Amino acid sequence: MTGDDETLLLLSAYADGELSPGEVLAMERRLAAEPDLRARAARLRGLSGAVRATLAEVPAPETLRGRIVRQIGFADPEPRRSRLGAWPALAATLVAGIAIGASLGGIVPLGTAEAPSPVGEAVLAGHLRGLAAPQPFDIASADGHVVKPWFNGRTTIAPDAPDLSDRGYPLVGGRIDIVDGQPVPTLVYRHDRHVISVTVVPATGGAQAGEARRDGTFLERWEAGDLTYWAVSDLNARDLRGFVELYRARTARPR
Amino acid sequence: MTTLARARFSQLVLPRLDEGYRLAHWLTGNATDAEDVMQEACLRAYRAIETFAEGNARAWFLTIVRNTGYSWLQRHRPRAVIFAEDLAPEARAALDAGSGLAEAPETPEATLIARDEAGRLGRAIAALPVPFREALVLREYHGLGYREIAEVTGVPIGTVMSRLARARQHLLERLAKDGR
Repeated sequence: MTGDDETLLLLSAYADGELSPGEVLAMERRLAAEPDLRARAARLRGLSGAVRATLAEVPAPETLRGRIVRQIGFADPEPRRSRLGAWPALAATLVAGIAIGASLGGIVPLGTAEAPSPVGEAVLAGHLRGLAAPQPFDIASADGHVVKPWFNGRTTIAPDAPDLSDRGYPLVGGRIDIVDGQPVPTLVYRHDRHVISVTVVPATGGAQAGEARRDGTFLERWEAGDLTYWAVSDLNARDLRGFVELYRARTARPR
Repeated sequence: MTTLARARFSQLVLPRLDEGYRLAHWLTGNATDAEDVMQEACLRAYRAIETFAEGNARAWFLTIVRNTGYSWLQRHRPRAVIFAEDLAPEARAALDAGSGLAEAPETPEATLIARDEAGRLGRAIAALPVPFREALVLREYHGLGYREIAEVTGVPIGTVMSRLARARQHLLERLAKDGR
């Protein structure tokens, strides 16, 4: 009985792909030698298929999602209008604005800024996609000591993430953007209702610091060490410049 | 930050409602109770969402649904929540692998259990004791590995392995018996 009991367990685990390589080898040897065992293995496989189909047949009610969403809305102890409450609307407005703006003309370089680079386009796209998503970040944290290490292993760059909330630019999180086919880190800050993305890419050299504008979105770029930083936001150019100066001052290496 | 919580909720939980619902359905045995369990489970998930760091969101949510389902069963069907160690003797006997091996079906119904048997199979699954049923659902429907099932149900991997094997053996015997 005990031997059979063990065979039953092994056979079931074999069907589930949960045996160790050595056990698999032993089981396959036994299967080759014992027709009865092969028949049992076949029955188990047949059963699995039938069980799977039966379990999945249960219809999930279509109203469930709506009820859950309403319930979470009601269960929310804080007023609906939180500081970030306007994000979805803001994102929708922005996306609509971009769509309209795109038909009127592309990026408008400001002042001495040169034509936007493919990197700039990718950075801008990451920012806009972040706004269109339920949230503009992959990790939510106001703590730079949480955000910075989060990038380790996900990107080759882990930028400093100073909290600038004392100057009205709280850190809200970080996300991964794809620029030039590579995952790169983006820090997300907030200023009132505006979202600021700071995307950090390896410096390509040559390009000077500069800024560009696309509809209501400003891009500001600067180099530090062997990295190029892009700040993207729908903030006005002056406030974005203020943010950039603040960020640069806080991340400057004392030397 | 409740907007963040809601955003995470819609990212982590909302896409998994259907599979959560099916686990709740197979635990409670009917649609109305499954919806109740899901509502409570989602509220629990929402409250806990900010403490969920990195990791397997799916296993995390299924654990919440499973535990909510268990609380519900304990409240409303206390008799159904039988743990393997205190299985009634007849249930233990029914699930005992050894008992059925001698009369294992010879017919090669094996490869395919016909579609019209699905109703019988569903009833046989529903009749399994809860610990066996949940292991089967998490494995066959949710496709979790033994380690994940062990985490969700809070038992050692060896227990998962034996529950699955016994549940399957039991189903095969039930079907063979009904088929006669």
